Amino acid sequence: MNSRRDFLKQMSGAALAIGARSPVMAWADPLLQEQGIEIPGEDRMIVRSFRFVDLETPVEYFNIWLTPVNHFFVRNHMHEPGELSADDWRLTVSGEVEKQFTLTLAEVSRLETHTVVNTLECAGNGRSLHRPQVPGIQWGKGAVSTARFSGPRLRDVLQRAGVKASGKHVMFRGLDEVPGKVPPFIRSIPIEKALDSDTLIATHMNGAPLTRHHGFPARALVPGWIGAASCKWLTEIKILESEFVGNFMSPGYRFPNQPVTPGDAVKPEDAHVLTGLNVKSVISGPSDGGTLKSGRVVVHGAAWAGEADVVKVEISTDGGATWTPAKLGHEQAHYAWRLWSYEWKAKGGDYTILTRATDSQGRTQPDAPVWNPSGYLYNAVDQVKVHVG
Amino acid sequence: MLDRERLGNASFRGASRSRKGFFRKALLAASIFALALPFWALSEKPTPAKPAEDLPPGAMQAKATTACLACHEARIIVQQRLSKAAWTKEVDKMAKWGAAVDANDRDALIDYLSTNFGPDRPAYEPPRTAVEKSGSERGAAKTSSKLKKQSATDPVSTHLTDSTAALPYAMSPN
Repeated sequence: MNSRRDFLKQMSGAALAIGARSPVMAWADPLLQEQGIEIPGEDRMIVRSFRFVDLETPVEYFNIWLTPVNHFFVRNHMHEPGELSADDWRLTVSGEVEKQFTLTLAEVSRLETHTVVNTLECAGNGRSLHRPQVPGIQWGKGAVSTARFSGPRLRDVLQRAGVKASGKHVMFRGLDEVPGKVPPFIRSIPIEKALDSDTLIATHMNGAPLTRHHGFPARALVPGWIGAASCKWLTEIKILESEFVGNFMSPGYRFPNQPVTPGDAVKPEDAHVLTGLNVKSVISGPSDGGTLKSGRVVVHGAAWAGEADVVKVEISTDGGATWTPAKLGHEQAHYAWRLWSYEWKAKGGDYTILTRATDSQGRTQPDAPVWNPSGYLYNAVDQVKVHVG
Repeated sequence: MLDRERLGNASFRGASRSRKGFFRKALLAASIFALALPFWALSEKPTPAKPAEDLPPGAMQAKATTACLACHEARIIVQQRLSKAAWTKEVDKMAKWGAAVDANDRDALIDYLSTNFGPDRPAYEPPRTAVEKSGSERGAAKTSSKLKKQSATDPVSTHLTDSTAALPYAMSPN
């Protein structure tokens, strides 16, 4: 059974880190009180699930524009492919095309390369913050990271196949190993987004070949859209006349057209497929619950807006009565988050620091989250509580 | 874990407040510290975080383990905080997706899950992955210094020490 084989493989690959630090030091640092779970290539990530692997980026790592790969969040719907050989991997392109074909990795790597810096965010990021709570991986704030992705444009591959006028949607299938009778992880995107010059068949991340957790040897990269659009371990591209019909298009990854009350049943036809991300900012530091010295405190974090640009990040240290703009970082790219910072002259007391971003489409983070049955697109004003001594 | 941390910190704070009798207090603090620590914390090999969680004891523990953990680990269950209605939906969905749930066990399984993982339970505290070992750490350090060369990435230095940085509003996106 795939799942069992994968389980054993992961177990054997997961020798535990022991004895690396003295017990007293481990006691002094809350993060090291318990030795972490060793997952090769991953560094101090929050383990939402070990089998299958779902790892969250701690918000303290939102202090660097390009997330190092060992701090980049990992979202798997099922088990990672058991066998991955660059030589054996094939990518087929079929469906509503003039000429279907299959590419090897060598052929893919000979295609013209394009690079996109993209903030990738799981649609379920922040799910644990919804009330009432909803089922699914209970992400905190860190199912989001930013990297420089590169590889051929999907458009170039589609043009080589010759998309027929009947081709309206592009389906991606990955090599995820499906346990039990779980529906396979297959989704589609509209042809317009597939033909966008920034939509890639990504083979590299931050200049290095994709790692196994991030979809080696190739993944779709659909910039500005929910992470689920960017299918990992990509092996099949099929052009369809209509949207793919399957669990991960409906009821999965759909958002109610109208506000819903917890307990209401939402029919698939009363919901739409999730596409672009919404506007959001998150505080990286100071840490929630922390104690600070009075004086100069740098409040900092990241803000992103999917296909739109962040134009403003504001900070409030008085519970939302007054807001002051934060300074946006120099580094920017169309689909990438902006780092921001705010110099706060903190006086003694207890504070709730709030942050909210506004984007080029005029969207602003709401004060309260928009509850929905699957807990997608949480983007309420972010907050941390601190004590200034 | 938290209690131990609080106790330990309190002891050290107590010891540092007064210089008089410092050593006696330090000794006392150290004894409290030592007593408060379980034996493993003083040994060379601290108990590691478990890669995979277990399901809690109960009449349905064995059957839930068989039904659910064939495909995923218990942590995916243990982190949920759901009402009985929501657990019912989940159990029925998973049974449809191949979880081996005998029709006679369905209600007991739902009870077991909603009793142990209801909305009123405190949040699950997830572990972290280990600090990456030296070889990979060197790789990561290399990557991050390379990134810094390409572009100043530290928000504090980028934003606060660069006096040429204009107000964000004046900066046109390019």
